[in-house]
Amino acid sequence: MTPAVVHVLLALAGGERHGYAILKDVQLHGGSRLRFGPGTIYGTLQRLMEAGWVEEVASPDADVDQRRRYYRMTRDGREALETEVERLAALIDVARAHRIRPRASRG
Amino acid sequence: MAGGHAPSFDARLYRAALHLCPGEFRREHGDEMTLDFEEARGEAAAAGVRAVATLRLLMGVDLARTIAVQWLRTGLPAIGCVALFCSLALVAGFATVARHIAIRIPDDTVDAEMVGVVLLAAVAVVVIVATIVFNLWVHRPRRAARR
Repeated sequence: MTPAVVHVLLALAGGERHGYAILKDVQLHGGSRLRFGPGTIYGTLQRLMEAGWVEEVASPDADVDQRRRYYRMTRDGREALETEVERLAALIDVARAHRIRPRASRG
Repeated sequence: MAGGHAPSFDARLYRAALHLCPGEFRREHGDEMTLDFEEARGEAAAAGVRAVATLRLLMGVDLARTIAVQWLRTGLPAIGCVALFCSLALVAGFATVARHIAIRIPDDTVDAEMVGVVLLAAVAVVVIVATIVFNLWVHRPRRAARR
């Protein structure tokens, strides 16, 4: 899974969102090193929809701009994300065993 | 438009640049991308000139990357390369065979140049036909799966 896929799925783990809300969520949680634009977000969403991990849903609010489309994570998408999180957690355990710590925690 | 305002010059430029993306991707997400750009542009404008410049840089890089990635995803560049290679191989093979066949090349310089132009045009046609054939062949299973 690429960082873009992980971040988009994590953004959708909180519920259905439109593209710009996903973009803002990725910017919020990705930090300054992860700078995605709309092209990366919608390209990733398209691939995830083709894989069946994300689906488009009707807009929950009638007042929202009709050009806004909402996306939701499917059950397959959640399972894939959980598998990836498990893999990352195992990776972090290995890193800790080798006394490799994040730069920010070194002071 | 966001907020009912006329789109900014940046937004119009962004929308125009989206035409460099493959048609399918642009039709699917072009409106959303422009809307997102307009919102991001509005937020950056409120934050200052520097934020707008940073946004332009970020969006420009993102769009360039998206254009490259989306065209690669269509498979057209790879198909074009394969078609070009196959066409050149076909023409080379044909030239090898033709060398053993007696073809009368006109003595007149103008006619000889015309023969050259016809041969070049024939190669171009073979490349185009091969690209179309490979494109249809590569995308055939995906179409069948959609049905």
